[in-house]
Amino acid sequence: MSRSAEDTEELEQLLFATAQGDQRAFKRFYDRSSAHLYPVALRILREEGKAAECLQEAYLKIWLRAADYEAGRSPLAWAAAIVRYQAIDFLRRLPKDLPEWEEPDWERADFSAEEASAPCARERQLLEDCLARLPPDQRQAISQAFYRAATYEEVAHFSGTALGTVKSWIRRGLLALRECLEHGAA
Amino acid sequence: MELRKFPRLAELLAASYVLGTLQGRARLRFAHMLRQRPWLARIVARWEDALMPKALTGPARPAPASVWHAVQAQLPGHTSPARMATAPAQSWWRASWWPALSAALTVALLVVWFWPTPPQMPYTAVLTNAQGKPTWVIRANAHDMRLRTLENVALPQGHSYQLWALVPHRKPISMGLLPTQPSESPILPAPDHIDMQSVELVAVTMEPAGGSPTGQPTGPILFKAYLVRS
Repeated sequence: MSRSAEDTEELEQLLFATAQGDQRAFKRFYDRSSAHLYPVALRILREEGKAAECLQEAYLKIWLRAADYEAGRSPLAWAAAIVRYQAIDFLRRLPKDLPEWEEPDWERADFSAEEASAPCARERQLLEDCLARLPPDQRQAISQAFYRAATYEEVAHFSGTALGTVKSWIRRGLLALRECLEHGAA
Repeated sequence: MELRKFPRLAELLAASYVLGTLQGRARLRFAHMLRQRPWLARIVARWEDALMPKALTGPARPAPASVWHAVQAQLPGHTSPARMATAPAQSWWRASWWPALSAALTVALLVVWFWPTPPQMPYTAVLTNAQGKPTWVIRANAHDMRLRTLENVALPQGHSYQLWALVPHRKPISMGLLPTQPSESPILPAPDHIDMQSVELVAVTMEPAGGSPTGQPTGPILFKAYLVRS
């Protein structure tokens, strides 16, 4: 856990230096983070080539926007959000073929090997606890939307549920999540 | 509507934005609002901090090497290491890929007066496509090249168009990847060691997606144009 805190601090310093235009620091940030961020793109885009292109655009944005990073936030979460948004943009450009939803069960997916030292372990635990408190419909709908950055339509299609119902599950679930996260973080 | 008066809605929009369920025009509008409202950006940041750790679970996986090459090619001052060699670099027009491809070249040499040229934009080039249609307009000065894309550009999947600055007696210098849609008008910074006044030509090659992995052209030159003092 202290190893993780050191990593976070190093990443933060590298981002500050990147914001000053330090390309070596940016390269080091890339070396330390890209293996964590590549799967974020891969999981959404499901194809190595597209994920690679997405990652490239995202890192350019990280380079250009490093000055926006605020101290105290998780540097990896900040960067992962940029990758996620880039992947979402790419998704909307791809042809509308809805492949089969051959998903592992994300709620119970076994990543146990490195969980304790995974980035942002404490925040993740809080989220898991809060998700666990949601009614199963809301939790499943949010999980499905989350892992593939799916649209309401896609979640409705794959769960065989009416669109309006899915929207209502996700919205209620997000608001309940907000309440829970605020209490947990306090 | 002042979103600030509706905190629950703001939270919902922020969460949906991070989640990805906010899409289409609503997503674009929200992204635009984010840039102008720091309070909203903070709410989004809180959702990012809450949700992204879960996106980061799972085994790490190294990104392909081409990703860093492509990123690096777009950073300011990037030049291929071979340029720094003291031995005279092979003239680009004697490079092995040149003769076979000169037949495919389209040369544009127009000076374009579509818009008033500010005094600090002394050079202009127009790149036309194989049908002779102006496709990219470049305005170059000492610091950068500003691009305007006039047409949608067809690009085979898995490829990219890369722009090169050509200086006599030197290897081509990468300026970055070209946009393929008229909505994109990037500014490509000039590499530090290049005096833009010594650039005579710009050329476009087709490369793998993400740009040439070697730092030098690997694909055929498709278009080129002279930079003309405007």
